[in-house]
Amino acid sequence: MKKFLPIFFVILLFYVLSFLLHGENLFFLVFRPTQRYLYDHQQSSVDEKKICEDLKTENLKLKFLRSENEILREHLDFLTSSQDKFILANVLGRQQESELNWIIINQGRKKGLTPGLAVVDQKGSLIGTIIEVKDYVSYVRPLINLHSLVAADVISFNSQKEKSRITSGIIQGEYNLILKMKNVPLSKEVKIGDSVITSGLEKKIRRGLLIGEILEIKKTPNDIFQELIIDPLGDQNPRIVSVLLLAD
Amino acid sequence: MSNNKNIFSLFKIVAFVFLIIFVVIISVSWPHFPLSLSLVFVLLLLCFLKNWKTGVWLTIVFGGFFLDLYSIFPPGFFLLSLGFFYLVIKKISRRFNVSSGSGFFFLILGSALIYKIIILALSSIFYFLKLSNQLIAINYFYFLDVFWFMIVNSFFVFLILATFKVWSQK
Repeated sequence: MKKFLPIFFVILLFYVLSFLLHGENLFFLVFRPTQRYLYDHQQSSVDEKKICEDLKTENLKLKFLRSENEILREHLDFLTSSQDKFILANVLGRQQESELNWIIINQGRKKGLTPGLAVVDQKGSLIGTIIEVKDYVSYVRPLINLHSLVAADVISFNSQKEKSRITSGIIQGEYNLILKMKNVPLSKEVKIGDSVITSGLEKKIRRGLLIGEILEIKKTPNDIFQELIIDPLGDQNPRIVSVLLLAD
Repeated sequence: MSNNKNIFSLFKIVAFVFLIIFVVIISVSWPHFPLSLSLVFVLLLLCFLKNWKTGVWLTIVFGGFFLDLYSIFPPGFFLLSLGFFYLVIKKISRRFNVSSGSGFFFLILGSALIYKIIILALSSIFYFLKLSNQLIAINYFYFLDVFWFMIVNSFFVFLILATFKVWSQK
């Protein structure tokens, strides 16, 4: 037992010094370029499905803008008058432990990132939020993760009445595939294809970031709530992301 | 002669540490890498099964350290997980007969389960001690993940051991 005591103290010292003196920075400094190269090495091809999805996003954005004009007047308090401040970041990789998974990006505390900030893809769709930050790297929890909870609004636009309705709720990821909005009162009228945006109730996530569209509405007899299945529009395997900083 | 031996063992240690770094970086950054496969865990199990104590300790210290760097859990989480896992598996292998074919099979399969249970326990302890904000929830998805982890990692260990055997026979 005495034989192992010095080894134990050396390991303990190594650990404490590494993390207290931010020794990990040296490691990330050396290996970030290699990791970026590795992650960027995946093939990406432009196919018809992708073009279709892009058009769909564009269409949803237009729909959203149209309805947003009306909502603007009613929810002026939620909106920020200034434009988004953002920081571009490269994805270094991803990790998983049990049902927790996270994306590692190459910007950190030194660039002003803090936990809770929204991370969007190149189309401006929300893909997750920052959960942990280190000096040079940050960890992003994808929106589709079970532990991800984001306040959202469903915008239903009635083209006949030229009016839009808002249904608010909390969306949660499920099985790293879809999003769900639970406990939506039956009195709220929503339809398949309605767009879902961030509601701005979170301190660090502004209102109006595109999340997805309603894929399915689950209603069971004698139930007082309905459940909405949402198809996330964000890129699930992003290579470059933008972190939206707080407005001044 | 002894000097040469020392240099060789030092070279072996340095090469092994670089292998651990390589393994961690590949598992984090290669987009096609299966997320349920834990190469550090596989490396530790292989060192244990091959009875290479230095390798076991190097994997625990350096593997744990690099996994901690990329993890959302607090520093020391994976080091402790790997350390506790080694202690448990050592006790089990001493107590039960694992030299038989079926014993060996259950040892590898059970190791993956034990590792997952240790991670779950440590995540809960860290969470309740307020050292971490992350808590692994036990649900349908968790059980599915554990089952898949056991299959993938055990298969990988068997594959490497079989390759070693074929190679050594040649």
